[in-house]
Amino acid sequence: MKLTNSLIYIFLFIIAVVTLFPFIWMFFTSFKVEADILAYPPSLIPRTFSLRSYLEIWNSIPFFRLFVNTVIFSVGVTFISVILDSMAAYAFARIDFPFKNILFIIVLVTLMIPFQVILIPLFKLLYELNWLNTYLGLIVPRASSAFGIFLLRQFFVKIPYALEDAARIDGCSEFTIFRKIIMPLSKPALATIAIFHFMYNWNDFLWPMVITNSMSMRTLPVGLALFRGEHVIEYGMLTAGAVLALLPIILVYLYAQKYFVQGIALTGLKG
Amino acid sequence: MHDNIMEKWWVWIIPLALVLGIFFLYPLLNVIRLSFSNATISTIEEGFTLSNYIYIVTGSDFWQVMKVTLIFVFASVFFQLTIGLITALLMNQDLFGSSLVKLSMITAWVVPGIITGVIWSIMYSSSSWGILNYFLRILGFNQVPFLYTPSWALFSVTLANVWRGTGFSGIMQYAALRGIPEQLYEAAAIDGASTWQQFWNITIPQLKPMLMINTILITIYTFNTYDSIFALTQGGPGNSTTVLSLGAYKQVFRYLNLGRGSAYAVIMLILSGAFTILYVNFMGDDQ
Repeated sequence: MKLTNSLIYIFLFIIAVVTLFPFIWMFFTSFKVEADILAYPPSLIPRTFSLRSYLEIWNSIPFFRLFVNTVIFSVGVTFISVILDSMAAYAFARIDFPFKNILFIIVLVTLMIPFQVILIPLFKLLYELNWLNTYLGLIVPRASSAFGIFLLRQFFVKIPYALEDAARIDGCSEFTIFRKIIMPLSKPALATIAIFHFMYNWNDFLWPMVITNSMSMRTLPVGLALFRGEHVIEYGMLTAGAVLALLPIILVYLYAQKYFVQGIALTGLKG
Repeated sequence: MHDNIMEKWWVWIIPLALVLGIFFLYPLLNVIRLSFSNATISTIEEGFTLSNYIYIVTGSDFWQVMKVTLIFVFASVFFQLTIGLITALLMNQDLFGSSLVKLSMITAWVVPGIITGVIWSIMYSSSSWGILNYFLRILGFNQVPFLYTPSWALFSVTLANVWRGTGFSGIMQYAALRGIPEQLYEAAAIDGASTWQQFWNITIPQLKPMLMINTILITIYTFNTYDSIFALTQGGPGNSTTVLSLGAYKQVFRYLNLGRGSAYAVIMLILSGAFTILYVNFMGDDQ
């Protein structure tokens, strides 16, 4: 048993090192001066420790504005999709209505299709609606996901009907049951969906890049991509920006991680 | 009693149906229509033509792109799933430090693709400051042109993608492992089942639904990945790392050819559709 434990430790250690090494390298690179980044032999620890990249980034791109845009975009999508996903999932899990199964399959099939496929006509549609370069245009078309509906439905189905029946006898409406019983009991699943939406949109590149064209509306991944020119890559500022862009994600994950695993574990995907 | 509007079933579905109908189904029909037209960004030509599909399928690039896409997708999915599962099983032993592994894996997954590309381009660099080549030199190996020969470039973008995606599979499988009732193992242990037997007869069957969903999700996700490849190689050298989604992107945004880009999109749609059908079939079994 001792031996297997040390083998497990060694394997986990290798996984952790391989996964973390690029980050650690990126983190230290962000504190190097340009000459140090390109120096030989490469050194993990900066030879001269410098905050220049972190200061310069504010002059090169409107970092704060990009950050705020990313927050509005990802929080907006997360908020609306959690509501839409849970409403639809509630109907699919607990209300009987005609063609339910067929509709559910249509939802899944439609939403599983890659977003990129519909990007071009979607761009045209937003252009005609005059929604390009607006938060509305960024957020609304993203406000639903098959994964979210599927996961929440699995979760809702497992909630005991006894609670709902008792509430009905007390004269509660469908909406009250949803808001007072189903939603509070589904916190882990809701947190899981929220983290998924938040992370996915925080990091998304293609959609905000296509839908926005002024710097004042762009998001962080799009702004950071500007440091990667055709020929020159501003490694210092890029890595500094990447470090700053990652912090909120890590904080959100740390805050919600216990729900995150619980949420997936309890949905019945275990068979 | 049923006069409240929220009592109607369709109220729950309508917001979703609106988003789906307007921002998904309508553009979807449009993309199919565009793929049969000569549209470019500036000229919207209507008229029906098969020329886009004929151009794509008869072009020498296309089968190269398909080959690259399939290698990229299957290698990524296979390694992400295998390494993810092994890591999940080990994390489930609840040893000291597993939460650090969990955090590091999830962090790799949440890095924007464009940053993944940049991190790895620093690692892969063939200049004197490229760290992987520096290690290789210290160990006495030759310099490796990670991004400059077709086969190495494909290897490198796949490795970067495995690095990025393994965390997702690891966390999903870990969560599923957490959901397996402890009693199953206790009962098996009483019946004298070995660890190996427990793994094959309890763990794997219990994980099967999650493994299926995980596989399909990451397959579709990998089909759509292009941002990290774009940042690493821009699809080159030549076309050696151009996957379908990058091909579609280039047709529209580099060559401004809407019709051909849409035709690429429809081909992606058919491929993803095939996987979606798998997914739905599986869902059908579950109910």
